[in-house]
Amino acid sequence: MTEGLAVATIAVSKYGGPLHDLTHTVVRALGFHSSIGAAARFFYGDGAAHSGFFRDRRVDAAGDDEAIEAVHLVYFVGHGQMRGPIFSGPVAGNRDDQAPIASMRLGDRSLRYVVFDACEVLKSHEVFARWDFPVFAGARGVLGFSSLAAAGSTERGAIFAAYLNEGMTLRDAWRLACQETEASGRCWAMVRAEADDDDTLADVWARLPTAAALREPAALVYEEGGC
Amino acid sequence: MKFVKLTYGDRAVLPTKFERALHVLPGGGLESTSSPLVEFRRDPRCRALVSPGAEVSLASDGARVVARGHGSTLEFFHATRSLRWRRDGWIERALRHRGPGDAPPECDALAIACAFVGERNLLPSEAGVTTTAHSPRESSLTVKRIARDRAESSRVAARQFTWTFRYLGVSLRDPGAKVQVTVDAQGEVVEWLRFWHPLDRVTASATPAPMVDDLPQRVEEAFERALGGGGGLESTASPLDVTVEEADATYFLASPRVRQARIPFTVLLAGTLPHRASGQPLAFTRYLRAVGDELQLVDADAVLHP
Repeated sequence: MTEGLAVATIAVSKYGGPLHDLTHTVVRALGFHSSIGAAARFFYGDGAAHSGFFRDRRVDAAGDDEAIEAVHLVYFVGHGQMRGPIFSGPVAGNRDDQAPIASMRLGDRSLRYVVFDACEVLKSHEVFARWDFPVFAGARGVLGFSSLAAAGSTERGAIFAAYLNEGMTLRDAWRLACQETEASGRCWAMVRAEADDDDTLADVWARLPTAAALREPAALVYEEGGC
Repeated sequence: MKFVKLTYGDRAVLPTKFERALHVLPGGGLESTSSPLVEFRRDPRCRALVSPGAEVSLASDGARVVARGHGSTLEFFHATRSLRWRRDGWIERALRHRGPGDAPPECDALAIACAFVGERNLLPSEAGVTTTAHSPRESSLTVKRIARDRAESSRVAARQFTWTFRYLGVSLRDPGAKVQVTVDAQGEVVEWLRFWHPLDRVTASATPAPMVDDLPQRVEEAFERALGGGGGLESTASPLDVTVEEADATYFLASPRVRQARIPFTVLLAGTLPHRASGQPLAFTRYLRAVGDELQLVDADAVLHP
């Protein structure tokens, strides 16, 4: 059922700048990478990942989104903040290197879902000022946290992948994986594109609509719940 | 030379006195040689929820047993005998419904959740275990929507109530120790979970006693080492001012899938510290191991705040 589906896992652990290194990132990311059912799987670690992955060249000259637009789902693990995920490592010149949400145009080719397993990328405060319509250029949804997230979880990636493989909706797979790995004060979140004739509420991994992009959605829906 | 100055806020007073009985906290080592399905059928809570002869499908992935039937799903986590139940499709129904006033009144939902927890006997009953507060922590499933014409709406689709626990006065830090009940707009309990590591089945030797005589000083030393030890947050010229907004002694209970060999006794510190380069406040949460000769950083989290 997962024929033709491709995923990319991005794990940033060495920051070396003001932000501290993350010791459990790679284990968590590998748990997802090795468990998810997909025809093609790509892994980008510290030596290969940079913020250009999430920048669209039409918006930002530093854009280099071939890697993420060639797959259907991206799982990012690293530091985050309400303006976007944070990279570092040698490709970024060993300094904090943020991919601003405003520079993203997700889904104009294959990409349908992005998961930011990082702090606050989906913070609820003025969420639609950051996650606005232009960002959804064909993508169906973005999953993440509205709160801080535990840096010490090693299992979340594998649990999330197992739930996707079981046939849960992407939302349920994410929120239940977060419930098992986060303290109750933390909050999972999701932004979803909504169209009259396309039910993104029911999206499951094995039957993900990949043929056509969901362009110009009628509405964006933000959901936030306690872990 | 590095400096760290810890300032404790009103809520952040490090505990310095503990019950002597703490050193016998049971932890880890839940022994079982049976298969998950056998354990599921033996568990009295599961037996009460899945009556004999009912049309229920059972599946196991090794870590948990999933029972589906009658429009609901029950998960049994074999390692800790934790449970999670949900009404199938409730969240989709709650999200599709866009009518006004569709959230249950706060007080009604709390009463429903408390009654449910009592009827099902979901709170742990081991000696020494208490809930952390008279009322559970409340959160909600919140939905915001923006249309192309920029019209925005926001509503609460369901209310969640979470109970957390203490053992002899010390917090049992979730995710492995929480009871949560979700009440939808119709006042129905649509989801509940009981994540718990059974403390009455295990031996005490794996969890050492906290050494607390000089805990505040030891925490400050450990925190300074954590900042300087590769964390990249060390200050080179001026003192690094850290404001501790929450301090608590905790036992850390991991995911309900994990059979913990020991339950680490830790000190939780949360607050803000200045970004080395920009001076912007960084939110942080640190768990510091609080037993043995050394305090060690066992988990760390920091994020830039604008």
